[in-house]
Amino acid sequence: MADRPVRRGPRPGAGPRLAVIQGFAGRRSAIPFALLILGVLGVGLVGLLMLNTAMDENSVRTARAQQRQAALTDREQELSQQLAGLTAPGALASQAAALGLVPNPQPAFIDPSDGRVLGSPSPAPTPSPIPTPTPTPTATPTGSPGTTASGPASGSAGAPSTTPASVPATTPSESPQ
Amino acid sequence: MTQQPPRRRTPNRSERSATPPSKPAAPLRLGRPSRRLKVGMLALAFVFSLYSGRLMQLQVTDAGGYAAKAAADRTADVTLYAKRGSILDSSGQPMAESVDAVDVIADPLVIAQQKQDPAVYASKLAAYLGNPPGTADIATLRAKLSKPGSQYAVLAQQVTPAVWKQIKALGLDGITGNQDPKVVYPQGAIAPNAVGFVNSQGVGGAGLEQQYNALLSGTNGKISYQAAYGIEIPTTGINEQAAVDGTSVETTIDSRIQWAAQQAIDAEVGKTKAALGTVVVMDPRTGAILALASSPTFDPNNLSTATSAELGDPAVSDVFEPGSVAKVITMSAEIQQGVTTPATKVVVPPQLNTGDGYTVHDDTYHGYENLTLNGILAESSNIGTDMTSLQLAPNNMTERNALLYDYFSAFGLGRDSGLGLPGESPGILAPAADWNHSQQYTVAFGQGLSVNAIQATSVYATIANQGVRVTPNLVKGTVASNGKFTAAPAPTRTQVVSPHTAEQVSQMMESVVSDEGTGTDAEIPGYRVAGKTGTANRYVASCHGYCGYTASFIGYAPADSPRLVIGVYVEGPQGANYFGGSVSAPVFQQVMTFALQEQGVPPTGSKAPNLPVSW
Repeated sequence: MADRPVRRGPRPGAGPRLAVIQGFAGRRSAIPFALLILGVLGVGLVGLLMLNTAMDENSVRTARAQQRQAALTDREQELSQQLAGLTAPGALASQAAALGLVPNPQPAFIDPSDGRVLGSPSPAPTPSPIPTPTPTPTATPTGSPGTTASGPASGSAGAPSTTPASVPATTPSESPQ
Repeated sequence: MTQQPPRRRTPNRSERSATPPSKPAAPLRLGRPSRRLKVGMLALAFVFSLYSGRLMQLQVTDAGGYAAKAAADRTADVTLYAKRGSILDSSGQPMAESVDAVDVIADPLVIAQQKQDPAVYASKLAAYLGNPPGTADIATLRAKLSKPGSQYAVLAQQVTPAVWKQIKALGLDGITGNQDPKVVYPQGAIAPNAVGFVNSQGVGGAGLEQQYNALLSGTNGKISYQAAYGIEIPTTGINEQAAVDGTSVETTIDSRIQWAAQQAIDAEVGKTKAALGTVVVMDPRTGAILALASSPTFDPNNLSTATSAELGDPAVSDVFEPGSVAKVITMSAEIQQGVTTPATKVVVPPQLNTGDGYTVHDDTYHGYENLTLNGILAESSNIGTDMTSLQLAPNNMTERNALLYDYFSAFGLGRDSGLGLPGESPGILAPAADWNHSQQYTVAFGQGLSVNAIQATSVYATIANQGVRVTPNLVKGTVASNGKFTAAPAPTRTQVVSPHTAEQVSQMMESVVSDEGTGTDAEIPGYRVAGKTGTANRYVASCHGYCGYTASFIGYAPADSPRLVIGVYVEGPQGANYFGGSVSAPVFQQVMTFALQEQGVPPTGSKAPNLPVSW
């Protein structure tokens, strides 16, 4: 302190003149500014809250949609498996047999261009006894009322099946070989 | 005593400290602030340098490690399981398909710690488990759930996701689910021997499932995300490494023909109490295998009841002596070499003494017969086949054997069929130089060599395809998980005999399936059918020799424009009826009738040539 007893500074009188500025009404109140800040904070908070809510809502919706998607995928898989099971050759064959259909032992084709019959067609043999509902509709009373869908199918097959055993016997001898 | 010195010392110190004030007071010397500031600054700088050094260490040099550690701590990994590819039939429908399934696992220790009653658990779970759901045995479940000390008990394997969801909704402590996809067979067991199965580790254990396992299984993926208490932290981003689903394999198998073939061979094997039956259906133009049925077979949904022998594919793994069906090769060789024609006249003696103690017989005794080459094939005469085959190189047995070997080999015998199925046996075709005396004669009519069913059928496909051998193939291509189809490489084609030779042999085979031949039962009214019967002595290892027979029939239709080749092989039929013409030909007829309709093949309408059988 002894080295520097005097603080350097502007000597009085040499500095810029200070004067009261007219029109300044004194310190302004801090309240509006505080309110502004509070307002900004408030808006920010509410905004954040809304953003959060929206995000949560979306995530809940996403989760629900994902669950639904998973469930639907499972269902689709299940149904396509069921469908594949129903269209499997074994299932089709047993369904066909239940309707009184039989495999065609003598394939024949019709040429649509000239109506020519290719091959040696013959009436189908009588279906194997048990699964067929109605080879002759009146003969079996239990079969006819139960299955209405098989009515037309068995009806058309019923007409030639009156003489089923005798007809195929003639065809092998007619064949070229 | 020990406390004395400090007590004495203390007053001393206080005396000393009290001393200065007793001296005349020195003027108060203020410390130099700049020096203090400098020292303070230095001290502060030192301390802060330690801080910043540490900061540097944490934030710069070691930052990577810590960041990784932190990330690892809050990163949750979820494995994304790749879906196994399907095995499809020729129409693209799955024969074997992988579906989601869940293993239900219990932790009995947790259940005990939570003071839960295993009996209640068991009755609750039993409502959903079992097949069909609700049929599970409560006592068994209870025993598993209350096993002391155990932490892992599998309550049910591969339940459907729907069932698992219901179980999960019960909110039972200590019950967890474990992803365990299962392979299902939506069309039922279609060609199980060729398709194979997937073992409990999820790896293909046989057939195509094993052959294409790497392709079918795909690559598992992973989801990593930042989580706190197991809940995803929003906006941190998800690192997803998608699973690459397995590629599906599309086969050439027509599931309907396959089914018909399976039905027919099952019935025949059952009727004749045979050891094994195999049916191969092929498209001669492409070499595509349309059906590959073996009997007995196995149920892929119930592997535990199948024997290990049944799990393979006998169509490629089982070899047998072909017998008379091989005469077609011998005759093709003769006609191709120009030494005989279908009309060549031969006097067939009752027996052929070859010297060295070996005599060739025919199946049924006959006197001297005047047969054409066509007649020799139609009646399946061993003697006639040997006599004409000697013409390949008259008086030079070595050259004749070599020629015969070349043709047998060119028709694909003794080599891998090309299907590449696991466990294939190429059969045995010894080099001509190794043939013993009797073998030199028996090979010509199909004994003393062995083939598998694919090889034998392929011989006929070659004749049917105008002498061009197309390597048999079972896989049409692969279908990636994005649906992109990649065709399998085209099979190799080799001209084995000329189209003219093939046509002549084909016409001769039509005589076999005529009223004068051995394959009458293979006739299909309206169609021209060509084929050949075979009734071979069957070598059985367990009886150290020939016991029983192999009855076979291989043929194709329509003979003048072949679309389908079918080989039927029944090994070890019991009873007096063991002939290829009566055991296998009816199966051929049945399967061919079905397949012709299935493929929409009309009769050609032309007449069979009816070559003369005798003169």
